[in-house]
Amino acid sequence: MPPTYFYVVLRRSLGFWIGLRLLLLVVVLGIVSGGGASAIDVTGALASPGTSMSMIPATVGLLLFDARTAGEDLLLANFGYSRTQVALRAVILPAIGEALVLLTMAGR
Amino acid sequence: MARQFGERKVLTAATVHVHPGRITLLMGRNGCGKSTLLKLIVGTVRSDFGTVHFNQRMYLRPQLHLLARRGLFYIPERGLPSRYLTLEQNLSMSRVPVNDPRMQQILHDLALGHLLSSFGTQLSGGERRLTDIALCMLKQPLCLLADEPFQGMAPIDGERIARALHTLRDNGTAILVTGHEVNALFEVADEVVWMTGGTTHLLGSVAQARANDQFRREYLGGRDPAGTR
Repeated sequence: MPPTYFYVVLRRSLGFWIGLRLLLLVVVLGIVSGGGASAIDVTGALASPGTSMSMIPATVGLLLFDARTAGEDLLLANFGYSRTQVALRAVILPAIGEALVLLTMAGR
Repeated sequence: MARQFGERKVLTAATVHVHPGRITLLMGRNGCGKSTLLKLIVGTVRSDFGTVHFNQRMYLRPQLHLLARRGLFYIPERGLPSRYLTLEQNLSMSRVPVNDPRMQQILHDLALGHLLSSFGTQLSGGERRLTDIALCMLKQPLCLLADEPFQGMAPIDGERIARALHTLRDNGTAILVTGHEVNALFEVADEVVWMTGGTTHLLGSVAQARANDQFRREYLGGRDPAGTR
């Protein structure tokens, strides 16, 4: 894959991952504040921000969808690059991010 | 190849051959299945049956990235450049540096040099079409499938595309183009295939196509192919 597009994929995947993480945080905070008012058990919700591995496939899925809507799938395919190759590169930064989150949680 | 969408049989038995160093023109009325046939060939739409033979290999379920690795290039009707990338980033897919003499020549020939920092969304339809051709010329494919390359082009840009197609052909690329711009297409084509009734008919050279009464009656609509009534 050309270096230029590799950096584009890395930048986008990091952006989507941070975006999804922030979204999750907002959802969890919403559940926690709602739970406090209605006495719902929020133990699971409090634990989820640090342990949600679904963030990685969600990030990759979003990135592939975004690339498709931007018309990049055919552009890449014309130069011999498959979606799998893009997905493999898109997984790098979210995986590192999740690993760091896990390590941080484990260190508490 | 064949393809049915619901009850509608778009293609029943369509066959097309392209040859190195020749431009084959695929013509037919709107909705007859020209674009669908190209999509079936490159695998963006699955065929009901049919095979693709390319560069000594047969593909039952063709995929564009696999065909591309063997030397195919496909220009869809909507064009190739990504909306989120600059022209320079789009062209970098070819791995040819922007300061390479070949890149510079192509940018000059297609009048794209001043647009390198423009994003895909900022390019006009014609500029996107020229970018498609630039990408193709940078790749130097064995076979080019171009869906309506002259659509909406200003005459001068149409001439640029025609010159690019001739250059590719002279370098041995097998080219299949579709479209309705009769004058421009007849000028570049070496042979004409007519698609009608879900199947294809090889009409022969442009002169032979011009002389075909049924083609003139059912497709050209009485218009003289030279552009005069």
